[in-house]
Amino acid sequence: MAESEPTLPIRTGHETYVEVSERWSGPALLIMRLLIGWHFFLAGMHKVLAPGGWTAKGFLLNAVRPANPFTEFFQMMAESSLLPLIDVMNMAGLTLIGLGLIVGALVRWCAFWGSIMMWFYWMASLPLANSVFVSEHVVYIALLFFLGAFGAGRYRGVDEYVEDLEFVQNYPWLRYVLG
Amino acid sequence: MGATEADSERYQVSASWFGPSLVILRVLMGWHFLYAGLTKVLNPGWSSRGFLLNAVPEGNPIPGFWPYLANNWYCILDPMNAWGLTLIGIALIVGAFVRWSAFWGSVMMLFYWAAALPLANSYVIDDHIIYIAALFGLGAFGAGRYYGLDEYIEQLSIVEDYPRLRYLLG
Repeated sequence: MAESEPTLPIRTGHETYVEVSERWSGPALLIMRLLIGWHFFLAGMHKVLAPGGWTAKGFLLNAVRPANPFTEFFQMMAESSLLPLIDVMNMAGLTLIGLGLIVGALVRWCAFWGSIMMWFYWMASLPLANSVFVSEHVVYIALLFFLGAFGAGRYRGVDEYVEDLEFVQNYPWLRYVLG
Repeated sequence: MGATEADSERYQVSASWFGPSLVILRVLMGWHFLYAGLTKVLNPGWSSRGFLLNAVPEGNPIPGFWPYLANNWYCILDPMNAWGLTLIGIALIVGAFVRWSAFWGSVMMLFYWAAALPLANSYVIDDHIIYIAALFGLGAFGAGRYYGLDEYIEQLSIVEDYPRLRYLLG
């Protein structure tokens, strides 16, 4: 960045400082958090509000490609008595993770479970039609990891205030699920 | 990250994870672009015409634009697509000219997004928009300077002499 632009040192490790664009890094975190949150939230609401109710069964039985290395696993999932639970976990998971990311609450917790969900979606989408290894789900995982590493909930997010609570001050490890 | 001294003092990032998270996002994003580009470059039969003429969903807000592009501009558009994706992918993977690449990658994704409207299962946001956000993040944080070539390019005397070049690097 140009010398005229204000820069902010961030400590990495012990002695290293790096410069980031102060004007853009905060907004960038916010934009990423809001957009991916909206993407999750809408995908969740789309399922929650689906007329006649939504179930993963159709996808698991028909849309997983025959060459998928985990066909049996997904078929077992579709026919298991736990399917209603899986459906609810999908709908509630996407919706709540989306909400959490949008308002910036429990961002690391949300990013972690969002990544687990994306991991399953990615497994179910193998073999990828137009790509090797990286699909949009993998990029989402990288993006969620990024949001967690930077503690994106503390920039214009609820986690900024949650972390000030006395309760969190007393139990600092809670920050692993906040930020 | 805030505008004030007080904000920036209390702002902490995970010291052990934020560098790796930048690299991971940059390399994965780059691989996604590179592979999409290479499959087009290496496929002599590939052209954007088929997509533009047949695959743009019904109800697209600019339906006349895509056939216009396909019929008049495909000889420029096809190499720009194939090589654009490939070069942006390589640049992101090695971390060279990250901001420049992120900018043009975003422009491409904006076109892809516009051609995908109306979205089947979403509203406004699809994977292309998330990629734009990710590219913006990579540019804002200057992701090419972590284990990337931009770290060294920025030390060249030409960059020291013309600091504005950093808007393309980082």
